[in-house]
Amino acid sequence: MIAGSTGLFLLAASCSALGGLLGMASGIFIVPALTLLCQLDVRSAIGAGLVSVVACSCASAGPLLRAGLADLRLALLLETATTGGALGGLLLFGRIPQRVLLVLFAAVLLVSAWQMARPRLGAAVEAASPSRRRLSFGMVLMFAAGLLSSLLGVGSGVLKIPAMDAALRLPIRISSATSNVMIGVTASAGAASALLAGRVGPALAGPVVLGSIAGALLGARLLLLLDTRRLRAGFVLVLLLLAVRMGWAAWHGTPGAAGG
Amino acid sequence: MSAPSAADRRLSRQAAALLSGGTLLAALLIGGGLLVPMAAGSGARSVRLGTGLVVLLPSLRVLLMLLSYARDGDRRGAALALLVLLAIAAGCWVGSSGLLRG
Repeated sequence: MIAGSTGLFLLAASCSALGGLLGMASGIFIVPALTLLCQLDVRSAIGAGLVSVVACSCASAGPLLRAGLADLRLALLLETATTGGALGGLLLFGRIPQRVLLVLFAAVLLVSAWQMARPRLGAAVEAASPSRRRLSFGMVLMFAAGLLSSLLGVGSGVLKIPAMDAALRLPIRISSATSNVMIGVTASAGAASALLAGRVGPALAGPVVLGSIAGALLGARLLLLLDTRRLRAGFVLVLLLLAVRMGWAAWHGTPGAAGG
Repeated sequence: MSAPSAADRRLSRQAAALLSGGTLLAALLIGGGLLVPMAAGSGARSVRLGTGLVVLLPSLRVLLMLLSYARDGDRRGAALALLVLLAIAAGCWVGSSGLLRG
């Protein structure tokens, strides 16, 4: 059962705007929303999450690139790791039972809540150039982030934040802008697969893409107006709640997960 | 990371124009398509075209980088861009073929 176009549009727009405000990709909200609220099959929800993540990245990348915040050369280097990981994730996707996907998703939600509860410092001073060892570590984390993205339909901030902050020592503004640009490429193979294989049809993809674009643009505007610290504290609770609900769905089975 | 060169800044502006313009076009195609009832073939076609374009845009950005680096004689950059495009193509093939339903 899928909600109507307007409902899906509003759902995607609010998930993307929230994601933008909290510095996360839309997938982390839209996949649970589609699974739990719209009772959508988990694999289709993950496909729609990937399509939404790509749309958000495309909508927000332009302004970030024009402002000189995103580093395209660095993005391309890291994308060799994330797209390789995404390829690995797509190889695994059909072999992992839906319940395991739900449990993995719940785990990612828990780690995201933990990351959101502590202040992210980033690198105080921009490192001139990361050492070979740190760069290799960063690339390994990026590979894992790509894998997790295509498996779960999320942006994998859980792995990219430590990769950017600890391994590559980038300042937050540059690292969030760069990872925002990267996620479009990372998620595109999974998103294209979901469309080509028919897991996400036009009645789902259309409103989700349109809502994601609108939400991403709205989120960027709101970010300038709102104090996000309180919002982040509130959303630690929401993420914890979603983790419990996804875990519950894995344990008891949702109509969408019954096939797993 | 080192400060961006003039060529890097130009490439960033071109990529920004490609992504913003493409996103706008896709939004128009999807929005227009959704206004027509889905049962009518033209609406669904327009929505498919728009969603397809959005999903293709990141690869087009990498292709733009590949062409720009190749033109400037930056072999390392061009090789990285090619690698990314190949990984995406392989991902599409793996993800949409029977391999998925293991």
